[in-house]
Amino acid sequence: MSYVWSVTAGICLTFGGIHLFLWTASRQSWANLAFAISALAAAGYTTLELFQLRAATPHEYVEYARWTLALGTAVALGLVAFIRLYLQAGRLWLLWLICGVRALILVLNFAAEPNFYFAEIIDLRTISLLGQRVVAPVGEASPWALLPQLSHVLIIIFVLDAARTAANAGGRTGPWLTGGAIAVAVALAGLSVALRSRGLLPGAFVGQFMLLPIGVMGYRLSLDLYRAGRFARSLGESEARLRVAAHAASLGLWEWDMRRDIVWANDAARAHVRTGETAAAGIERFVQSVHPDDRESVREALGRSAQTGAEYGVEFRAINATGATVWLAARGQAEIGEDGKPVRLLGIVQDITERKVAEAELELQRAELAHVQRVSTMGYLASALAHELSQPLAAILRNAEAGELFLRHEPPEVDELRPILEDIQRDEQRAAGVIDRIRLLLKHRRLEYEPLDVGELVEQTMALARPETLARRVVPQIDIAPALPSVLGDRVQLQQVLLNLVTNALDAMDPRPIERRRLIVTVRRAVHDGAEVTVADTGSGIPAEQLSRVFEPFITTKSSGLGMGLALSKMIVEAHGGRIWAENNTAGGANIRFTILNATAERRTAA
Amino acid sequence: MSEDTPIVFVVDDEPTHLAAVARLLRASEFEVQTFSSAKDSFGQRSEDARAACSPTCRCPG
Repeated sequence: MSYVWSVTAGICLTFGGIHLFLWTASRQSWANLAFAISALAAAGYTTLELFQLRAATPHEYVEYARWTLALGTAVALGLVAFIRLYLQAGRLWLLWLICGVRALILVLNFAAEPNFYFAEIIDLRTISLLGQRVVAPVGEASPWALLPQLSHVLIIIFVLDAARTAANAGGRTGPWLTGGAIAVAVALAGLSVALRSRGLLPGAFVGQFMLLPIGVMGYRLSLDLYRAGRFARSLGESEARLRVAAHAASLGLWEWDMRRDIVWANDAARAHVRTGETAAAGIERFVQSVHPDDRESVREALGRSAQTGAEYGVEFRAINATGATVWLAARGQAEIGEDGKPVRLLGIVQDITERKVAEAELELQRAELAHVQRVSTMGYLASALAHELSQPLAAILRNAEAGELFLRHEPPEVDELRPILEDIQRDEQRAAGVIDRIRLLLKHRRLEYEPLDVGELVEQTMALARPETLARRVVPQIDIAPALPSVLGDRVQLQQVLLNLVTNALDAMDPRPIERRRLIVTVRRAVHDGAEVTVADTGSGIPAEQLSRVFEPFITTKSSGLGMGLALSKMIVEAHGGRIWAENNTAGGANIRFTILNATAERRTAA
Repeated sequence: MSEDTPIVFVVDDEPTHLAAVARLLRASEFEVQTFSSAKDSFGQRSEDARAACSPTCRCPG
């Protein structure tokens, strides 16, 4: 028969050990500690009970009984604590009440004579249990014997109530299984104690009943192990997937443990920066590889994210592992700890050199396209400009000829020369002005943004277009609102936009009779900010379905031309942070409007 | 200048060029009358003029 007790004690010891180990492995799992205490106490209880059942004298029996009761208290309190910690439920006042009752039992247990359960033990009765002879006490029951039963009832109530709360909170059947096993074990132990008090059972069999919750917890533990294994596998798989993806995109992943200043980085992230030649440690080691001009902005971006926990994004130049200067983009977010201080900074880092080069090339191509278009606009205006130039040149020639003749007169009419020379000077200046304007337009140059008086710009451009408007028999009407804000832009490119729009308008009005040709250029304050320029004509307008498409390249309503003028105008206006659109006016013609931001507004840098 | 001096009507919409041509003709001993448009010159009696020149042909009409 003793093997039942030995095996029970062994099982309790083993599982207690397992839970104790789980607690030492992860100090947060206090539930495991509580269960370990309970199971180890049950092992002790079972061992002592075996000796108790073989006691030779009532005195020996009583001594063993004292210690089994103490260990039984440890089992009970361990289970109550376990339920509270494991299910994270259970009423606290009930828990403290149970502790109080068990503490009272403990005190009485060691104070009472001869025994807690018996006011007097007369004799030990030998009974047969599982074919073995064991002893059971014979005596008068003590009035305190009801206290343990009270504690059992309280524990059952506590456990079932906690299980119900946990199940309602989303635990489904798990809490009921755990709580139910404990409640049944406690109920059985209570029953056996009651039967022992009446001399019907030799022991309380607390250890054997404890096997029930141990079994349930063993089941749950193996379930957890299975899940953890599966989770670890899927975590491993997703990590591998991330690694493959990061490798394929040569995406650098890195993490900065801010508390210990340790940086973890994958191979790609290491390849993006040169860390070999610096004595600096932690994050500084990486910052040292950043281009000196960009270091401050990198530090600032990371620092801001660390303070607020907001996402950061920064582009900078750096020296990579091969010693080449590259453009990198870093993006990520800081993790803020419970104390409000930053814990870690996570992020990705990418080589964006190709993109940066492509952007620069695009900018260059746009400038080239703009130049080509400008040259073609100039070609378009050439005949009118030639006339503009020939006028002062012809006047200079006539004046020079006249001067020569006056000198040949006898006597030479020197007085006539003064006005002639004055006229020659003025005409030469006029011709030089025309040439300057043409040269400015034809010059291949980079964008230069400067504050501009948009009214003045419009007037200058219309002066440039004057020969052409004259030739087309159109008298432009220029209407500039007073007190306009100065705008930020590139003078030549904005002139080009205006020239494009004006030449388009003139082309559109060619089929119209002369008296119906009207070109109105208006400059107003824009609704939001900056200025709005409108070029209105009395041509045939734009078909409604084409209104939104006229700014696409190669869309043209004219029989001549590539259809690049409006597309380029749109490109230029948008690079200035403005907007361009077309509408039809009541005169049957078209209005093309565009806006330019004012000089104080932050210019959007278009790619 | 004598009665026989020929009068030349000069028509040009470009004032500086008009002045230069008129000056050149005066230096060549012609009497000159200048007009900024052909319409104005039509008002003059045509027999007064012995010759007319219109240096540019961009004048309307």
